[in-house]
Amino acid sequence: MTYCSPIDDLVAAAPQAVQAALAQRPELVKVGLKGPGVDAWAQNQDIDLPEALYACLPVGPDGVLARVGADELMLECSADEPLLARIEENLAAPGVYRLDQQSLTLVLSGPQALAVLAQTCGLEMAREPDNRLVYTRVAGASCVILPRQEQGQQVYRLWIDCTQAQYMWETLSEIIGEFSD
Amino acid sequence: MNRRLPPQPGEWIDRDRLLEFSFEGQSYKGLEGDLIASALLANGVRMMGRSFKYHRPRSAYSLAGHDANALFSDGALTHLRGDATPLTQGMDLHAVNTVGGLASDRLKIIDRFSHFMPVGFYYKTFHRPAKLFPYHERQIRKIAGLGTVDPSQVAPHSPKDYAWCDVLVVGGGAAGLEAALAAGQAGARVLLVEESAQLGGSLAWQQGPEGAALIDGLTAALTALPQVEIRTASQVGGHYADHWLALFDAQRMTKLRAGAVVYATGAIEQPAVFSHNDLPGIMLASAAQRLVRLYAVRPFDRVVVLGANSEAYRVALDLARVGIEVVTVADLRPQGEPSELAQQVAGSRIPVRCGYCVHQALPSTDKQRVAGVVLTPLDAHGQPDTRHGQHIPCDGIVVSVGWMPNAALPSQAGVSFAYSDELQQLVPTAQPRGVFLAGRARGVYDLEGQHADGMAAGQAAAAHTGHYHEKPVPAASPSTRAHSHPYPIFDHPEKKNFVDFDEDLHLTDFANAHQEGYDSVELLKRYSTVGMGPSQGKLSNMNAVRILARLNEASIDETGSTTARPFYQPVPLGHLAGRRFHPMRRTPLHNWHQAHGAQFYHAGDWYRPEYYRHGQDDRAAGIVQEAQQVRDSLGLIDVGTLGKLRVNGPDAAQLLERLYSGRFNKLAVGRYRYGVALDESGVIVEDGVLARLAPDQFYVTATSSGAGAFYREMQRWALIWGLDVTLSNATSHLAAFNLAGPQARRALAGLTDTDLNPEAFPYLGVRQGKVAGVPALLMRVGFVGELGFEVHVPAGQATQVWEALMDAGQPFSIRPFGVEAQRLLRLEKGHFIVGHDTDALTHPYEVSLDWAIGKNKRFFVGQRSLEIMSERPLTRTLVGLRWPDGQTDKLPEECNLIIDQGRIAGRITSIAPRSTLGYPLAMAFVEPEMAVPGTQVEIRLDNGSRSTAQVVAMPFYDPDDQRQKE
Repeated sequence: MTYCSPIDDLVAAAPQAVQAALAQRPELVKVGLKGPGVDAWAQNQDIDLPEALYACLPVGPDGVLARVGADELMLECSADEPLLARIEENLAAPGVYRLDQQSLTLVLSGPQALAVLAQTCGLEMAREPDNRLVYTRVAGASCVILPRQEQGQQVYRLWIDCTQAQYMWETLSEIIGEFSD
Repeated sequence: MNRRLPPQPGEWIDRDRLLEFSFEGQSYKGLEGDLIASALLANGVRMMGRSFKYHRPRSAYSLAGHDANALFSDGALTHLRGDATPLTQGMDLHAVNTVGGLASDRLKIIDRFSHFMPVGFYYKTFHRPAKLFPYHERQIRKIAGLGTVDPSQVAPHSPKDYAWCDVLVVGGGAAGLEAALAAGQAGARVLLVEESAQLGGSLAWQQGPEGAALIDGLTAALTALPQVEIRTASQVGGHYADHWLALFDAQRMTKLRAGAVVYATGAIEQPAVFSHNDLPGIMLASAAQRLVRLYAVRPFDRVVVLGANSEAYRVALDLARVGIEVVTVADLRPQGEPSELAQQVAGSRIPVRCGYCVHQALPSTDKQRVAGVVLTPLDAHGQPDTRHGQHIPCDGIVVSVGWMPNAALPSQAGVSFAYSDELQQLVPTAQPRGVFLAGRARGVYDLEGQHADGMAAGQAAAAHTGHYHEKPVPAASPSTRAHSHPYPIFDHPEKKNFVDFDEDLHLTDFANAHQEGYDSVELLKRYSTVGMGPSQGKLSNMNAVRILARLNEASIDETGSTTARPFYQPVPLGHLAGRRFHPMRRTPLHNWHQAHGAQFYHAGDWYRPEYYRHGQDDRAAGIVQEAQQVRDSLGLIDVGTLGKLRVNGPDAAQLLERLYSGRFNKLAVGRYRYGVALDESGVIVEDGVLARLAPDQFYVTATSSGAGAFYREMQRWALIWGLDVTLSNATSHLAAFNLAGPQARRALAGLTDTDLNPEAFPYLGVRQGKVAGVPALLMRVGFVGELGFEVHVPAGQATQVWEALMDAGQPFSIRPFGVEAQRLLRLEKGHFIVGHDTDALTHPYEVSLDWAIGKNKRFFVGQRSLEIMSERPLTRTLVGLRWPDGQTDKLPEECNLIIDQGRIAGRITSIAPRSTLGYPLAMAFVEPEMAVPGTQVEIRLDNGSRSTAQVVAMPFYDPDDQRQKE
């Protein structure tokens, strides 16, 4: 099902400098699973899980499977990812509940990415390892940051509440715009 | 720039970059690297401002950022500190505290009436007659304060940010540079912060070419270390818990987390107190050295040096070197200077008078500068022997009588200080973990010692953060010879001897305050305001304590000192505010609402459509029209802000049973029930509907503003009770709309695969199906008192479904309706809103919710409190009020009080001045005896008049709930 991003118009109208440093990824599908039976269910399905809390495993070229809680997982991947289909088909299991998941993904990258985060987030992202989720606040709003390498470049994937998507886009793009002035 | 010296070794100015500026309407030229104050002095401008209270002429005094009487405005910017603010091209400077300009300030006349304005006069004056106080207050407010703020100017936001380091070194002098180098060489990430534009501290202005070479060497070594960051023109404003510090520069505040902090903040030179010691032309020795060495400015031609330490001799030599005539060095010490500097001064033919003080500075005829001094020998008690005063003409007085460690920030960090009688200054006695001091701040005055001390502190800080694994070198020993005079205060009873230049406090003020009983340092501060000006007592606190100690016949330590608080230096409020982060939430339909005339308002952290502008409809009419459309046919409202919580698991019903007052164990699948949640004291904290989707799956709605907190409460209780539940908050992930009105079923029928027939999908039913091809949860609701379907769909498909519903409703003239229409409709139905009609004390019995309390339940939160309350008589109850048909005036606002025989007997909680029923109606708390339908109540309006309403039974509309059950 097509996800209708609330910020499509803003993204399209953003200056080039902003578009180069900040992108949305509405095409990535998210599935949340939660419940005491999640680990056992995944084992039965031969799905490799990240062991540590907040750890992530790569899924396909763009996706991640993240352990977002002791008994909670989130898969973010492209719609044609085979793992997504496997999960969808075999979800019915005791103690496993599918979560409503409509967070929006923004990707912050480029030479000023850390400086943008330093203006908006109280955690030192330079010291956070790749592929480990950071639960924090960005610009005063709850946010999950996933530092990772994409195409040889350090990027920061931000999972944000879709009700704050417009606010977050406007705030981050304003800061990015100031760096490029 | 007629007072600019030839190039000086290590000067900070760029002679190739000329800057033009104006001051008080007069054009001048300065150089890149100048401060405002140095540029003015280079142009021969001495008078830079007027004093706070008496409007006396003042000038730069410290050149170290502590001069409260050299404040300027530049356009919309005000409170620019002339001794800390770099000159920039095109500045249009004006002194801040004048009426009619600096030279002809009309308020300078106040100085003549200073005898009538002793310390604390404004506490005692102007109170009688009381009727004149407002007038006096206005006049005082007009005169008080420094500068004006232009409210029409919107300051650009400051890009406040965060930073992190292992070791923060505060101060870029000899000790600070060494500390940063030692910590950096150990591998620590070091941030070196220096408030001046360039590194060096006293090396730069006191040590001459040798100092410049040392600075260059240390700076080169530091810049070779990639893990060392240097920030000049930055200052630490405050030190908070766990080494959380506030850094400021011209653009921003940086919140810094440091692993350890080295304070190499140096010492602040202190003034001497004598008659007219505030005249332009009088300054600290360090200020004169800064002017000469850093800015190549010749501040005077003929100067008297008042000294009590080696630095006085050094400054005399420095001034003589650039051709300034040093008329004499008046050394307060009877035995004079013991070091070889004395011989050098003698060799320069500079006369020295040991055991002498400056008793008076003599003003010029225009009283705008110093024109001479009266030198007086000191008697056996260290006080002036006025029989032998000698008048010496001069145009400058340089004061070098002592230092105070720059202890404000270390004190905030928790460092303890005690007064050393040996050094005649405060020295640190204990410091918390991770905080280190070095250099003059510890009383180490010799250059070699400062270097060693810096290295020791840097290594210790690096060791503290796990980067240095050997034993740090030992810290240097503090100097053994005092660089400060124990009491550089010389009373001239007929003149003003200023102690605090910021607040215009002179010696007599302290004696008067003490006589009035303000004999504790904290009380004296509040009463006299000493230390409360822009410099926060950096030039006055030490002498104030000395004076008080002498008045109390106590030691300095017994007298104590005031508490150092942030900020170390004044900071712009805009820096503290930073960028304004207001993370407002928008429902997925926000853009649709905006495109269709929605007028938004803030509902908690949500933007919600209050109503939709249709043509030229006024607001009130539009709201009633929207409501009427729902009553007559069909409306659609975005209720996506509702909390949407999923409670799954074998113990899901058990959790809800305990959290809510009602019964949910036996709730059938496919049905929902209204629920109200209480806190332990029985107060209503939340309400919503609880729908059972499966035996172990519930879908719960909560109030828009309370959902987040209630979800956390759910999680907390689930953990405490050890229940097997899986909770998730779907509020943001799902959109929700209420399709309401008698045509709702017909409009929805074509869009869904769910059987909407009343038998198949009755009121209070919940179904899962599809709407417009999108998976949806549907609920038969009646909040607005009409047939209604709440449709919950994934947020990403919200617009698709909403537009499909609007299209399907076209045959029924569907209109979107906003929150105000919904409030009106629910008010007509007598439905209260938690947090709007209830308050922090409202329990269910007061709002007739007895029916929502499960009888014979074993437990629910708040149950015990309810049991107690049920045995007590009610003190208030929520009732309906109405006014006659068509009444449009004399209507109350929400929260207006109901008055009965002069007593407050209740208050309005919600009101609709216009309704679909043709009359104004309201909900109100009243005393129980007034709740009988037909009772007339009086409400006091905002303007004091009264409005009469009649108590009626609720609901006002469709009392049998027939319409919503259709």
